[in-house]
Amino acid sequence: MGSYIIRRVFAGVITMILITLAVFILLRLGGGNPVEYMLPPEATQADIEKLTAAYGFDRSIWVQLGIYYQNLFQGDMGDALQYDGQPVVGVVLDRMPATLQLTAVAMAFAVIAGVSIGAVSAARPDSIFDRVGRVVAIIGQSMPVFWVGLLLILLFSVELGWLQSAGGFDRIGPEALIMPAASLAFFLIASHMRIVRSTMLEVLESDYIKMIRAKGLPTRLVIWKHAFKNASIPVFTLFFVNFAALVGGAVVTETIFSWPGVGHLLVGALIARDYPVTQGVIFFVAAIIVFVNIFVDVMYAWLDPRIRLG
Amino acid sequence: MKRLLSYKLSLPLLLVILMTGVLVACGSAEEPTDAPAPTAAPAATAAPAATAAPAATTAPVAPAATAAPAATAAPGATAAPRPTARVIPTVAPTEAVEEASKTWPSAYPKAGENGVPADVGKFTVAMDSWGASDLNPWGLTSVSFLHDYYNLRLMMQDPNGVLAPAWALSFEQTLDGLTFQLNPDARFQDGSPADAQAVADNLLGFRGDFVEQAGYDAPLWNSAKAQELTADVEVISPTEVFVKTDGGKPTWMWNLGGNGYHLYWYGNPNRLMMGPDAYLEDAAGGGPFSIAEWEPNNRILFDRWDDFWADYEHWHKPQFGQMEFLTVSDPAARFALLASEQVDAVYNLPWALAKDLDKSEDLGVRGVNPGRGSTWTQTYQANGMLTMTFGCPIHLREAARPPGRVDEGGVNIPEWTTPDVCVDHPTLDVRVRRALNLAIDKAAVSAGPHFGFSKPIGSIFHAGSFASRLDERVYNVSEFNPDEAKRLLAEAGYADGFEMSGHFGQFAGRPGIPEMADAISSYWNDIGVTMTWQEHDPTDYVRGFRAGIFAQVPVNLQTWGRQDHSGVQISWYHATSGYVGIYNDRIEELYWDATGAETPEEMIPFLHELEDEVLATEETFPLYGMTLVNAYTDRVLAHPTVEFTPHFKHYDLVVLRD
Repeated sequence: MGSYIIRRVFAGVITMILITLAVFILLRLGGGNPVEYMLPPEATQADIEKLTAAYGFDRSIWVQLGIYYQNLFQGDMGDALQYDGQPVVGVVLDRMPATLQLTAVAMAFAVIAGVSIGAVSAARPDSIFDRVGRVVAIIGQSMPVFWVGLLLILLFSVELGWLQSAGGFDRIGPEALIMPAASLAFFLIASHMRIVRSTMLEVLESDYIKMIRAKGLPTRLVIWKHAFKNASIPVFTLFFVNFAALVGGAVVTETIFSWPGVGHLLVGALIARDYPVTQGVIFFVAAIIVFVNIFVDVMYAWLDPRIRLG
Repeated sequence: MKRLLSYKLSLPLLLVILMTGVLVACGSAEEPTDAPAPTAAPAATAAPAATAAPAATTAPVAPAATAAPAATAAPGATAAPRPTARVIPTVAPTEAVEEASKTWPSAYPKAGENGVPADVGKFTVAMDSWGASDLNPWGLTSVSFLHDYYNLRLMMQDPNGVLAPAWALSFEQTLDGLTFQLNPDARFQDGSPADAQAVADNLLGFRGDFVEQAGYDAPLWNSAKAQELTADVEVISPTEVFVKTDGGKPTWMWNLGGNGYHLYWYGNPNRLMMGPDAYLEDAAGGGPFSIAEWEPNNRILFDRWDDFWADYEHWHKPQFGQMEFLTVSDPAARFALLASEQVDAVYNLPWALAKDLDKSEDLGVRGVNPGRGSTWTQTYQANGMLTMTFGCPIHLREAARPPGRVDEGGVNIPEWTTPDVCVDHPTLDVRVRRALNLAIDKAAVSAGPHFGFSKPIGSIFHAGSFASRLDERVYNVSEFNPDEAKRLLAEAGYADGFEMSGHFGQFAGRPGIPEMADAISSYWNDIGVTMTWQEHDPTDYVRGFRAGIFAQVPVNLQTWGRQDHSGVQISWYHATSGYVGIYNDRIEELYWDATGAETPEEMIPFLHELEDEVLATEETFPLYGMTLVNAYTDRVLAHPTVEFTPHFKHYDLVVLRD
């Protein structure tokens, strides 16, 4: 098990190096000088030249890359171009708690609702509950997250006046989480529900369940104690994959709700052509995804020894 | 084993619950960034001496207005609003009275008078952007309009657009430089005097003189411009400072002085000299607000500085105790914030959403709540302009020039190379370009897809801009004449039309560009020209207009911001601009004549001639001037602010109901 973990961690480090390399190069594929993108049209040629030299963008891309990796291995991701030149690590970490709050609550909504609805639907296939659940799942997966967000704002902020729609936890308090988390969760509920339902249906048709039923065990115990356990493995995977994706993928939701997370930060950095911050956000998000994948792999290996032996 | 498996499989759910609790608790523990009081105020390290006294041979320029113009009549709308009732104009104003009513301050409600509360809680604004998220004026990476509220400007525009006192009470400009008389009451929030030495320190900071001396790794974005405009600074007395310039710098006040769309703000040098990190702990500026909470690019909360020193009609202690700005980039979300009264004002409401709201300028006094509904608006002009530019002629003209040229300022003129598409392109023929312009019904676009919020224009300078000629140029819009367009095309040998591609970008605060592109396609299709537009990322698009590159050919929709001063705007019509329009030798010559003029007034004939030369090339055609809509809830009684301004101003002057 130990060597398996080491192998996975090593692969994760290689992945991170490749990701940072790809991001560094992709951001510069357009050619030219980031300062030219960053400065407004009022900037003179002299301003452009002066700032280019100050930021070191007049050096070759390979020299810049070398400096970037040298600093990165020392935990220094450079300074943001805007944000008063604050260190990128601090700028990103300041925003990370807000994104993690949103992600965690959205995932909690999604898992609790999705798993419950999926399991009940599977237990009563083709019932009214099941049919309604399936329609809701299709709607949930078909509607863009930003559209759901705007509809929630229209209903709960504009029409009913119950909830505020801009700002994070610090500005509004706990209620700030409700609409953005719900709009993110709406999509995830559908995906969790569908996978639980299909897996449960498969498990419920298996021989050991038939045998348990034949023994006369109550349906409630058959479903929740025996069938649900085995049906949970794909949910386990889906949960972590979605969690990792949400950390970097809540960009639209964070923008609509002015949520002060890394998604909002990334949009601002891209618009301002703030390369160090863009690289920093992608690095942290990639690191979380890589870590979660390693974690899931290790958990799988723990659950099923054939994986690590293979 | 069974129990172990059960434990393992329930782990995800447990993790979700635990993580939710931990993270929510973790987030709620975040503290607002209240800044500590400064611990020390180091002395300024540099006080350069001027090498020459200002010459007294030239006339002083634009002395400060010390009082706002008085209104000659009081319209019905000037009745003071009651705190609980909407202001409803009871008298339909005559044209003359209506004009007078638009004069600030007579027609505007005032805090503490006629039932308007003297002090209220918080004023909240949602906006698409405030510019750069940089609080340090010596480290700005672009323009940042937040600084108007906590830092200083030497002079400022009052809500009528008249240059008025701010930090300085008055100034005088000569060929040698500018002399400012400062307000003796001016001070910073840490109690230190806002004196002449502070002006000098700031100007040196803008130039980048403290880079690598006070913890600054890089200068602010326009330090080269500051160096070009300011040669030296001399402190004459605590309230008098002389800024030496190399010759006449007629746009100095529009760049550094606080007039119009200025590019520099003056901070507290005691804090700035402590370095960027210490500055962020407490800016302690000299403006009417201090920074209470700061989420870069997301939210800023200001606290009113109750000891604010200025007491001008146009700049004084605000009515409200706090002011909050939120960036909400999605326009529908901004509108929802307004409609649900979560914010008091929205900056830059899309035209399509604003078209049905009450317009204060149509219903009484621009900027005063007309009292007819839950929301109202006022419109800014001069935030941008759109021109249609045919790039092939300048490519051929410049590519034929020898390499290694420098302009009059000593800057290298990049070498031009002609793109293949420009060789023998139909738009090299002036008759074709003229025909394409004649085929566009600019008034119909403004009235239709632009909902009346754009203004067809015949000038490269916007209405309200310094030196713009309203009747002769601005409102003298080229005619819509498709028959003549067809005749010209036929005469040029293109009776059957041709196919062409064009380019545009969409910019925040510059609405209506895609709609105009669609309309152009339709109009040109009517005369046989098939158009394909390519939309670009805005910053990439701007970069395509660097001198020598000019990638957007054969035709592009070029947009220009900050339309408040044509003397500043002409910097784009010359050979080494960072954002090139079109130019030729005569235009380049006039550019240097205009920017070398001794005073703004002396610039005017050069600006007029430059504009005539630009338009005479028929390589660029003005299409429309843009506007921005500011929307308010009924809680806002008035927002006195400049009509011709490229960005939001004077939020500190807003008057609230409660």
